[in-house]
Amino acid sequence: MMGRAAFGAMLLAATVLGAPAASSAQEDRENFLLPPWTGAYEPENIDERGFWREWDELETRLKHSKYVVRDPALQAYVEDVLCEAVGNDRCTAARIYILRENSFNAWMAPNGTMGVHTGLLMRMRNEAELASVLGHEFGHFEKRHTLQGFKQQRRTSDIVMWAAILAGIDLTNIYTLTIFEYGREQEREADLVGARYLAVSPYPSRAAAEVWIRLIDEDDARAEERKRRKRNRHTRWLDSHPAPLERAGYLARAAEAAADEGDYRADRYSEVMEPYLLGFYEDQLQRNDFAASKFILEQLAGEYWRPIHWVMQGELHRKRGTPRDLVTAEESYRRAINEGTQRPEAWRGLGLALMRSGDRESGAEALTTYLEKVPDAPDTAMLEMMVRGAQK
Amino acid sequence: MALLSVPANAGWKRIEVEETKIAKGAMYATPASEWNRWSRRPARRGETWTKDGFQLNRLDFFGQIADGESIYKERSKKEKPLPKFRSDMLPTDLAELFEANFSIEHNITQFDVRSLEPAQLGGVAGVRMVYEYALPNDALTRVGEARLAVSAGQLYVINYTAPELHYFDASVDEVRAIMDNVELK
Amino acid sequence: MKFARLRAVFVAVAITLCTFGVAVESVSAQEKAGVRPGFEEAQIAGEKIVLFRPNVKVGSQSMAGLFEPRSEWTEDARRLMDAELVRAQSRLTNELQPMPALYGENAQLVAEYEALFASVASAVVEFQFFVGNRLPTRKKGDFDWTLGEGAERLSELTGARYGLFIYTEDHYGSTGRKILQFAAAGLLGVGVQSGVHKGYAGLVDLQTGHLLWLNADGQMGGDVREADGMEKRVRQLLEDFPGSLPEADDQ
Repeated sequence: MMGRAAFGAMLLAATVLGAPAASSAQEDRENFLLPPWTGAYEPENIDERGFWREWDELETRLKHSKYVVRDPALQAYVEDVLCEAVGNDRCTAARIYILRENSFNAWMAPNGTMGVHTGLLMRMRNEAELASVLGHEFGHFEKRHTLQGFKQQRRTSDIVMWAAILAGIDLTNIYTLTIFEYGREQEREADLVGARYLAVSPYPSRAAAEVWIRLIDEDDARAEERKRRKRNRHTRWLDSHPAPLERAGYLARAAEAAADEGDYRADRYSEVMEPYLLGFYEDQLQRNDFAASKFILEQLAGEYWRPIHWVMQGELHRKRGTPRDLVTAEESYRRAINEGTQRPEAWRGLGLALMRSGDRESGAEALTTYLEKVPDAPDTAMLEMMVRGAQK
Repeated sequence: MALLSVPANAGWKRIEVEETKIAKGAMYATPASEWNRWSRRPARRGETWTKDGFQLNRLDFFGQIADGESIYKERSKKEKPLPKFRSDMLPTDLAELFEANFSIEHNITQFDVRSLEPAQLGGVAGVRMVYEYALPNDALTRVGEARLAVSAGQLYVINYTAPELHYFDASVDEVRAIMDNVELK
Repeated sequence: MKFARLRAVFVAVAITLCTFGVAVESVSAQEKAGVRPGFEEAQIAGEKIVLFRPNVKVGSQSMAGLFEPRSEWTEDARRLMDAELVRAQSRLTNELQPMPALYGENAQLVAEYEALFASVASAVVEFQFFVGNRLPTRKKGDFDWTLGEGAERLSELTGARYGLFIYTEDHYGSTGRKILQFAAAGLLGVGVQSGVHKGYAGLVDLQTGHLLWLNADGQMGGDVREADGMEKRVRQLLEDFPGSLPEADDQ
């Protein structure tokens, strides 16, 4: 396994170094690094046709699903990033669906359906990171992994089934945990194909390893809070993916080998995400996942806290609601307001934090400002009553 | 899927049109028509009713939730911890507490509040929240209406869910009457 | 691991049935059909019935009960189903009309109603046909289920007074699965079903929304991959369909 990773890295090094510095260096690098695109894959045998049919059915259902975020601007942006990541000839083979789901996830089906979770968009710090994940998923598609993954999965589940029958275990939930994951080898292969896309894209390949390192740290934060064992360090039996730590390692080596320059496009990314970020973060906060949510915010804000980040921090602490949290929340909302936030949620949060801390008058004042800014919010009637109650 | 699956050995009891002890005596109410009570409890002092099956309508009662307890029974502290009720919570906090408990319990990520307003639950001041949600991959819009109130430092909740097409409206008047007239113990 | 979670959710829909089939096997008495009280066959005479696109799914079942879709079987079955429905037409008093192509909001509305029908049909199976789990308020056994009066909009869209929904799902057991079935039954006394063969057909009055007739069976006969089998399946699905001509005419 390590052999293949090392081989991939060597291959990258060889092709990059060997590329002649001709007129269009970019074009030449592409030809060396990426196999020529042969068009969207058509199913060839019985198993594959069955698979396509199934995914076509699911895609039909997806089209009407309430989970799909139907936002033309966001849609166009994500499609654009995929094209930048894998190239214009390849990207048209994918049909992207943005799904309202707070988890760190994206996937691609053999028929070209690609799912991108809002939880992924929320966690990425720049375009390059998003591109690296989309490229990884596209790598599975290009390498036609799903079918092989399914066959491997079937063998695994047969083993699980035997074990469970003998032990008398209820099987109802077992498959949903493991089904449909690709095999470890395939994940590694998709990682490295993804790295090759990045190497010829406008983005730096380093971005891929950085994503995995943050995923590990986020789950560590969660594990510590919930007092459970930390995961992600070692690849265990039945784990279908290489452990993220291992992944971060070979991806970093691949990036080093590619030694490409590139632009993270962090500013463009935060500008596009600005209107959506708070909503995506509220879905994350709904999961009662404080430590991980805090980690996500800190990674996102980095050293440049913008007003939206202060509002998010206010929400994070207000929703946990210990007396100390309420103090932090109040400070955060005030900072957002002082630094010129336009989000009305800052005044709502400030008002509620103050009220819960017992400062009803100041709280009512902030809520009144919120109600002036958003007179027809879904919670108007409730807040109006709270304001009246405080003024008595 | 959680809302749709039923264990093999589910037991049912008919709820008659008469004063009925609910959630181990945490509440009393008189429904206007017959319901079915499920043998599985959603919480220690909770219970679940339906008229036509959970796919089509579901009424959950939760009573006497003390400071530090979740609304639904916490099934996995490590994987799916539920946020806990605090007796100093504002009405808006109660709504957020319910949203998180409901969403985590049923694995729902698409939850939107349609309205939040003051209301009474069994004569006690509290909140009424109307929301919509969907199950993964389902084209059906489902609507919920919950009322929450704190009485003597303990939280009480009644929550009704149904598909928006036909089923929500079909029972909502009766449900609202139960919410208005329930006796909290 | 995280990247695969949603894939799992998608497939869970397809496999819930298999796992459920394992977990809830030895289900006792199960009814298969219901007719709304007061419904008379005569009332649909000469009325249009719109046929919602039949949902046909065929695959094999691995030892663990995992559904493996097989497209050539599904394609065969779909083709055979279409052909068989045309032939079945000769046994019916009413003409079945295909669903017209719809777009935008109308397509969304039809999708919502198809989802509602699926919810209602599964509730009928779980809470009425499955006698051991029948809701006490339905103990009398009256078949009284509805999609609601709003279904009238479907009638306006399609120009039909009645709607017929058809759904079939077949998983053919693998050799490993059959061995497991034998071993589990012999050694452990556990019932493990080999294969899933479920189907339902439902007739809805689109003006009232009432489900007039539902035929639903978790263990249907007929190999849908072959013409003979499909004929048997469609015959079974439409068995006692209210608009059937007397058998004698057909033989």
